[in-house]
Amino acid sequence: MKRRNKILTSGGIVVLAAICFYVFFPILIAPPLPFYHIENNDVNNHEVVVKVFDQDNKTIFKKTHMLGPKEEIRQSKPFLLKFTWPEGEYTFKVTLDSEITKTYETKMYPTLMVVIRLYHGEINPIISIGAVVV
Amino acid sequence: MMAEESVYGNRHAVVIRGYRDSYELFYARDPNTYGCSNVMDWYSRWAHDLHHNGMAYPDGMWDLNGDGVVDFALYCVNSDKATGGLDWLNHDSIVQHEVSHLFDAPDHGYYGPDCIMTYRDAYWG
Repeated sequence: MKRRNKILTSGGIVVLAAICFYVFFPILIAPPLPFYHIENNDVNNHEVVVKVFDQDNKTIFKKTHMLGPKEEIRQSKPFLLKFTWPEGEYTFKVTLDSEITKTYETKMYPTLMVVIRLYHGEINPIISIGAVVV
Repeated sequence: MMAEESVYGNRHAVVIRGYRDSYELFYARDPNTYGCSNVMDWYSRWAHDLHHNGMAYPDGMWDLNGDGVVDFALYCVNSDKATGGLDWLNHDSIVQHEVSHLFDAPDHGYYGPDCIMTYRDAYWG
């Protein structure tokens, strides 16, 4: 009986270690990124509204940010997007001060982050959007 | 050292040199041309102690050094040491993985096909 318990305990530890390795190893080799990053390169305050639509054009996220001069913010991903690799494209709709709107389509997964730059240099559009991947 | 398609048409190998100007801004041009005057189609540079092993900006970046001159390139950066996790065992695979992003190669996820775009394989090299 003692021997049987020992074997079961050892087996349990090995299985648990394997599960931990399978779950945590990926996070260590490629840590997930936030949902998006906004940087305001202007010297004035700006209101930025970010809406995200899924492949069925359904709104999955909406948030309004008030950014001060030269301020940057990072928004964490909705829970499911932290761990899943969904098919299809997501659409980011970014509105600046209720005046200018720009959209950007991208895949979305844990190691991808959308970068929204406001007033980034003289030659760039007022809103420039791109993706950063690990 | 990597192969690169020059904006002037000839394919050649280049040593990627990233350096900083007097304003501490990243500045890099094609080192194979006289005066480093040609803008390259894409850049890959090494950096110290980034949070991740590497990151790519496959949509490209405008005005790389912030001087107001129109320069545009696909861009990626590779770290000699990752501070936010495990260092990938083979650093060549960092460059291979990140530069592949610049040619529209998507990530396959943490586990997936035997491919440099699968993080498991990128880690083991």
